[in-house]
Amino acid sequence: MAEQADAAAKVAANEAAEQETVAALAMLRRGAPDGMDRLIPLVYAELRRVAHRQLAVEPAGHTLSTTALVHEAYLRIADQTRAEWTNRAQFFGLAARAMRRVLVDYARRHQAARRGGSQQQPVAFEDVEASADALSVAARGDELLALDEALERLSALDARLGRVVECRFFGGLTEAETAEALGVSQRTVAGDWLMAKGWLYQALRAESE
Amino acid sequence: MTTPERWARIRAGTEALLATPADARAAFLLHAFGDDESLRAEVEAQAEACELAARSPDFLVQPATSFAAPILSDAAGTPPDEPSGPTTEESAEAALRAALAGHYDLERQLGRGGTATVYLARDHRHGRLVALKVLEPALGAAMSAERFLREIRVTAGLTHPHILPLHDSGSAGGLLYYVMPYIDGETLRERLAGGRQLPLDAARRLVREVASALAYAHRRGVVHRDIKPANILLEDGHAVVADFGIARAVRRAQEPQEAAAPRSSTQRSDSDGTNTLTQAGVSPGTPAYMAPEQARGKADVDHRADIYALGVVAYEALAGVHPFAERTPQAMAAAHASEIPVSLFTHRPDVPPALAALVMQALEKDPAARPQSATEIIAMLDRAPSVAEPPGAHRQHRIMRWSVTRIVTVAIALIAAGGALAVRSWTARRGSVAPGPATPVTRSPGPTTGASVTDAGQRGTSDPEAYELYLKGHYYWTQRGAANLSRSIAYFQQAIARDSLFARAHAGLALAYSSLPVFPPDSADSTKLTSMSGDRAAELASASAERAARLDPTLADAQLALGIALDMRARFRDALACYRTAVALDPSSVTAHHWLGMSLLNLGRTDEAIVELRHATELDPLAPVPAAAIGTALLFARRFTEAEAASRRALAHDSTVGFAIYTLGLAQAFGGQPDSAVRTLARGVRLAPDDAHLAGALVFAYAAAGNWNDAARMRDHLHSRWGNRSGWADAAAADMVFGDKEPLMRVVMSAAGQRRFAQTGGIFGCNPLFDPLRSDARFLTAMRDMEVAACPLAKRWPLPVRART
Repeated sequence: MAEQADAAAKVAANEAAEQETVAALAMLRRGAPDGMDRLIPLVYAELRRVAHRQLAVEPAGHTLSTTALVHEAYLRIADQTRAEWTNRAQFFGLAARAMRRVLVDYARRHQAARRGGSQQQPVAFEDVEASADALSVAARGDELLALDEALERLSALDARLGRVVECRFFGGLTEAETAEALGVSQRTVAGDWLMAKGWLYQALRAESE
Repeated sequence: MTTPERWARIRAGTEALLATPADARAAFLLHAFGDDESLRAEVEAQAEACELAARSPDFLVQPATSFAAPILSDAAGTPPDEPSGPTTEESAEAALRAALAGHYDLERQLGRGGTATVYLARDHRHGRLVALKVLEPALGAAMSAERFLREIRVTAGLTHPHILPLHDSGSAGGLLYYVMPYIDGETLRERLAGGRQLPLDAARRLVREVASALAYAHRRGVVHRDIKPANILLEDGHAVVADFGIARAVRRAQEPQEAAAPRSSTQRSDSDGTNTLTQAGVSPGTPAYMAPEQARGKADVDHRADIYALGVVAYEALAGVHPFAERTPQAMAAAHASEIPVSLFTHRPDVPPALAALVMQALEKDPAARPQSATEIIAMLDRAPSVAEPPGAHRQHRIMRWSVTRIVTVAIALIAAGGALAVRSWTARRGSVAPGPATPVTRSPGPTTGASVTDAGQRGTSDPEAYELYLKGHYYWTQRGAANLSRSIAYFQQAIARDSLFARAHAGLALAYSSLPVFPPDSADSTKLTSMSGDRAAELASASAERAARLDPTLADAQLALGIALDMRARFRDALACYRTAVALDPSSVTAHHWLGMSLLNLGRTDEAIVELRHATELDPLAPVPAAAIGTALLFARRFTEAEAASRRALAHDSTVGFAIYTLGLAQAFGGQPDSAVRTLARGVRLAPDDAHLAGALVFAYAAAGNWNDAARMRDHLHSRWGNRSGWADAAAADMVFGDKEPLMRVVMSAAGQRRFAQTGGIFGCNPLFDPLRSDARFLTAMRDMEVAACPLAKRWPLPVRART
């Protein structure tokens, strides 16, 4: 009984999501400026769902394949909407931005949970380096948030650099895919990526001092 | 605040700078932004950051999801949309208690790490307290329990006083566990908490005991793979190594069935295939103590990974800090692969040099360069002088003042530890072990005793930035090579631009200028430096040295620079006086003793030179250049076997020091091993194709080996490459190999030739390369004029008769 109700709720939710997507896509095709923004939450939810499922299947700590995630999300959304995603590259660019939000969201949540307590447990036998994994999770979260923040500042200087970082780092896109997604040459992407990395390297280092 | 417009200018400048050859960059910067210093600095910083970021093995290399995977998996247990189940852990423990009931009672949790939880338990059968370690469920789930328990049994056979034995193992309630004796002591980790150092004798004993445990296990084919302070228990002050073979068992149990199945326990070589666990980022092997090859997941990780880990532990026990402290695991792995730890003396000046050298050798990146077995470590420890009584040279360290070597050490520390040039990436932001470039003054590790470096008087400038620029300049100067030299000069110039009264920077600049003839900038670039003659370099060096000496007459480096500038004008006797002054001003300066030794060698006073050079290496056993120079001095003393051994020792620290390769090759050629000489020098020429000295020595070695064809080929190469620059002694010496003494005689007889020889690092003295000339009156006159002593050891060159073709 409960299962049936659950399934029904899921169908309803899916349908709602589908309609939302269709509307977003239509706006996107018409070139409405907020089409992107409306699509992002959908991609976001989808990526988060896929990420969770993958984590449940794979042993802890296993590396998630960005490309696999993005592609799976792409297929599902494309299937849901039965829309013809002629602009596959654009979708990937979009997915990269969504991925950024998902990951940053995770990192915030994790940081909040850490501040919330559970630090009082004494660690007697094992120690600092034994719990390096735990430490590193925290450090990674902090890094990700710092990067996100720095990226925001970089985007203010040069929006395209920000997009390149989103595609290359958050979206896991290749240079060629990024070029396609942003509608620039591959050479431009390579140059942007080099500059952006250098800028971020400096920005993050400055913070660490 | 950077505006988009300014950023566009920075970017354009950076791209232009990056497109400029390294040697020409200093000049480019001055030309392009000479008037706008802040823009120039920003462009330079951006270019440097671009290069570092591009070279960094981990900065934005993995896609974000891989980087963030641990966060995601950490959060996976508590999906954002669902309430978390706080009871899972408790229920797992309850299940474990139930499953163990009758055999073990869990009394309390002793600790919890990334891969396991340890409980204090009571063993009913034997009525004793034990430590029961339970693998994390996630880890256990990812592997074959049956195989883990089989693998762990292999290591249960180890019985050694410094190995914690395995009592029991099994699976209970779906969890894997193993049981060890409970030791009511502390771990080395706890002992070292808060940056504490072990007393010297305790540290030495610890290293010896762990090494003996390793030697025993390694002989039985068992590699620990996770040596770290938390795995070393201290029982009544003695070390007991825990978790032997666990890392390996865990790894084995995760391998695909086919890969692991055929191996029997007798053919364990530990040369396993892919390391699934490492890929998963779970453990075994802790990043902080993991050898570079292990971190890379290399297939042929062997017992020498344990030796590396022991090196890290020993470093930490002696220094009180990890060699690459305060990094996240990712950055840590990068550091193990590419950074050289700061000298132990920086942290602890009273470490016996032999012990420090042993630790540093264990920390070599290349397994082949480490001590090859734990047994060897024990032998080295037993050979080393007792730590109780520091030898005289060692006492010198205690009174060591803020000297050149120390500055170099700190410069390297700056660079290694998150400075402008760090490999350390975007991780580890909280806290900083070593000074970053923004704050070198207040946080530089000070000299070991004596005056504090934090006062401006010691540094010679009150401008922290000028000081930092100076340190960078000095660092690059010590690194040699044309590109580094250009950088070094640029940094010194910038330091002087900030503080024109900064004596040390002037002295540093003088030293850098003096190296220009030895490492001429690539002729492909068109900076002013390229076209500079040796005499011009000598003038510049001299002017800067005199400026430095006027600004601070007590500065040893200034006297050194004056001496070198005099050497460059072939005024060897006057130079010697300056070096003596430098040594008197700073008796602890390795560089001063080194140059004094070289000066004596050049003047034909070989035995005195050997004494000075030995003094230099006693002050800093790890300095490669003085170590190599001893080899040269022994070569001049015609003590070829010792010269060979000394060069090899220098090369053991750094196998690419051209100077040591040159000496080794000549010692072999003169010492009756011409074929080895050819191999040595051919390798040298491959490593440094721009080094005319190596090419010249190779001509000699080929001839000594009777290979006249290759000798002729190399001679022709020397001529086409360097011969047109007048006075190049190497090309002239190659002619002498073929019987024509006149070209080299011309070099020796002319004032310009003498200067050029000295400017390019040539040494007269009892140099065996001049032996065929020593019976010639013209040569003797020239030497007398330069006040170079006669060489009674001269002999006929050991060249075979050339077959006429």
